[in-house]
Amino acid sequence: MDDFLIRAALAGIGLSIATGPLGAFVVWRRMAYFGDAVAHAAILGVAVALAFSMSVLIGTLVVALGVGLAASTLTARGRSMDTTLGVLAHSALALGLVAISFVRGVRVDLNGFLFGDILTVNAGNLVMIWGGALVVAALLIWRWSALLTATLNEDLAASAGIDPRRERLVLTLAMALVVALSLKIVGALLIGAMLIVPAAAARGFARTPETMALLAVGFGMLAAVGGVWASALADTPAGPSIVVAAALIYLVSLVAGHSGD
Amino acid sequence: MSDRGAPLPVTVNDLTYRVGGQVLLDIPSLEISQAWPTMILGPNGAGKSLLLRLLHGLIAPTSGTIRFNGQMAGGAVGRRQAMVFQKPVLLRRTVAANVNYALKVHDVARAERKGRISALLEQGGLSDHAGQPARTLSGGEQQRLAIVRALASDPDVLFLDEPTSSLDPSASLAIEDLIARAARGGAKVIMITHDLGLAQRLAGDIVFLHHGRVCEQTRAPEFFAHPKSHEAQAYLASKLVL
Repeated sequence: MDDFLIRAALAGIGLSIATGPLGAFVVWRRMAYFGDAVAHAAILGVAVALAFSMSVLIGTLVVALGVGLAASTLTARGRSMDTTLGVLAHSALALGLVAISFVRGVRVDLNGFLFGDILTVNAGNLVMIWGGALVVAALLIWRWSALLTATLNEDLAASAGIDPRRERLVLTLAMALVVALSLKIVGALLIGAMLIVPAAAARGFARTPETMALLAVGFGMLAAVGGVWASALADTPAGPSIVVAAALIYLVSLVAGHSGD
Repeated sequence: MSDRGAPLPVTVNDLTYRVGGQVLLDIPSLEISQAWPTMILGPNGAGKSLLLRLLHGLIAPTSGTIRFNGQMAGGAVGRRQAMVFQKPVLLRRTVAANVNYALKVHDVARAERKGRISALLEQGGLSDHAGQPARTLSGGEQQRLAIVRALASDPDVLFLDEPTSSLDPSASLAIEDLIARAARGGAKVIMITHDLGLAQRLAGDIVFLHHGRVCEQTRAPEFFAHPKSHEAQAYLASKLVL
């Protein structure tokens, strides 16, 4: 197998360490659209990074975090969640696309940011992806009990002395980090799929929250390797191929798994 | 129960809770000093759940203070309290794992947990279900597990929001027994119920709310024999008061 394919598979495997447990929380909290809004904001982050000549990772991280916090704040003040996220997701994406067109003197592969370019991952990217994914996984493991209680019921969490707002912030931070890391792999339009699809598939087989998170990691890895392999065989775009592989695993879970609850 | 003892009296002063311009709760003064359970009664929309959430510090009042033996509600005081909700909230785990989880959240050492889980499950009459997935329990068993899990933190004060509202009489009796044992163990029980039989059997005193105000607070036998307020009389006679 070519080196670039191995690097691509390793990038997808590394990312799954973060998207598995985080995706489980996205599914439990019905935050799928929140993930999309944060991911779409990444394009605005790219524009900001290019305009200020800073790292794309930092630009996307800052903007994704900003949009995540804005969404949390607005919905906490009683604004409708889906409307707020709809406004933020599409506005940030559109604003990002418009802003990129103003950045002069820089050639931008917009398709790469929208759909990912996992086959161009280099050794430096791999270190960043694995490092970032391990940080997110460590954050989620550290906060696991509190996050789980706050996800189950915010009143129950508050009753146990856990601040549900702080746990929401932890998830928003983790989401922004994952979006920044995933941009090169699956792109802004498909990040949400990597969060949701493996976790949704895992739900069909898991009996406990922990096994669901672990299975989501495993399914994410399987989708990454399967997607890269299929992409090499059929000469298809790698990022979308990974998502298609994840979708196939989800279909299997519908047939072979239990219904979940 | 906690060897610290119940933090009595509970004193409420000039408590209000408003949403927009609407006053949902207005309690100038209330003192709960009875060690035996306090039942909060009143029709739907009277502000019972709101009062319970305020007492436990889950929400902040618009104005006023709540003190437990002189200490403000919430914060460190709130961490020595526990609450059971109308609908049991359980993890997708076994019955024993649900209790273990509660002990873990309250930083009980791993070595201590096994014995505590057995004792708590026995207290709730759930020992035979220890290895069973919690969500396959009956409604009454689920609520018993929710109470047992709340007791895992060894609370000074146990708040219960209509814990028997959707249960049949025998399941309600089992819950009642569990609550009575918690009260005998030294926890101050403050509970909302519409089950007047249960209130009569279990309550030390009654706080009767109507339209966000305390209409009367009195010892339970007196309340049921001679309710003073027109609203309480109508409530006990199952008449609609607007």
